[in-house]
Amino acid sequence: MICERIFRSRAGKTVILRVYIENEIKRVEVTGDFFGEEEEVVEAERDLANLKLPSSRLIGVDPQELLKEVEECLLIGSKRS
Amino acid sequence: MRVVVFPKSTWRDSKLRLIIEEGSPGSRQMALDEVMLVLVSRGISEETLRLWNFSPTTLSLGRFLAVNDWVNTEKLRELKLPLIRRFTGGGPALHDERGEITWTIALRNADMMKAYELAGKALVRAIGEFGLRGEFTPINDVVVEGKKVVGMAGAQSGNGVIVHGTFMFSTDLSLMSVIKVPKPKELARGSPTSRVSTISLILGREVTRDEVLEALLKGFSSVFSLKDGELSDLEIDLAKRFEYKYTNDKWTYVR
Repeated sequence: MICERIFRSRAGKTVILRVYIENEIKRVEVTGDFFGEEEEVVEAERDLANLKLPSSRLIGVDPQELLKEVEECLLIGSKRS
Repeated sequence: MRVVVFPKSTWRDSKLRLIIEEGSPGSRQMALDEVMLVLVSRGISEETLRLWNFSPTTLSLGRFLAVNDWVNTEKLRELKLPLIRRFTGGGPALHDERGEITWTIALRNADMMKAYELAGKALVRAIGEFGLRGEFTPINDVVVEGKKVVGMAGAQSGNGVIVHGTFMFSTDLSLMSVIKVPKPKELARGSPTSRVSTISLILGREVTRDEVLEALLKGFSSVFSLKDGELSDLEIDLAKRFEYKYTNDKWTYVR
């Protein structure tokens, strides 16, 4: 399943987060109108897929906000299965 | 994100090269800004203020936006507007070739937030030239009477930073229909046509490009020292080589 979370960050940016789940998290995709460098976004996606707090910093969205959304996706996934 | 320690000098101590250009396609404009970012960060190009515009009218998309989430592709096709993915983050922006002056600042020893702040100050001052009170609203907007007239987007490379943005003086807001806004943003901020305005609409008279150019020069001069300049052969050559990226669907539709 794909869990999609669309939210406004505390800094006022719109983030669209998609978590691809097949028993476990296969991939996380983070898009939105925040600022950063390509490598930082890729790194954040990798960390989130491993349920780790992203160490890279994106301007406009807090890593904690991203992790919380991924965890909520997992919760929804576990309720469904 | 790299944390940059600001040098003690201010931007007033060094002069920014001023380049004023007419319109060109988005592929050339983005290629040139990306080249300038790299060359400025390496000390090869001078710090720069460039005033320019997109021609033809173009929809630009922030680097980290997915096309399907933010673009009304049907409307875009109907209006025959080109779509360009920027190398800078931020939201979508509709660039009306007749209603906007686009600007770029390329700085060394700066970070993005500082560059937004400096650009914000300059733009508020430019808006003041029309007798209006502009307000810089971090992270990256300038509003007048609560409505956005300037949007900015930035990228960092090493100790170099580029921030570019719109200055909407007569943008045809009906063209904003090419932008699709995710529900949470629409709930928080309203539709693009309801939260965006232009200097002409606010003043109730048609403002000319020349007036805006003059105001922008005054605004940026209040923050930076400027000197006339031109693009180097290296910048022109590299920008031509970079253009392929911005005409390539693999880049435009990467997300």
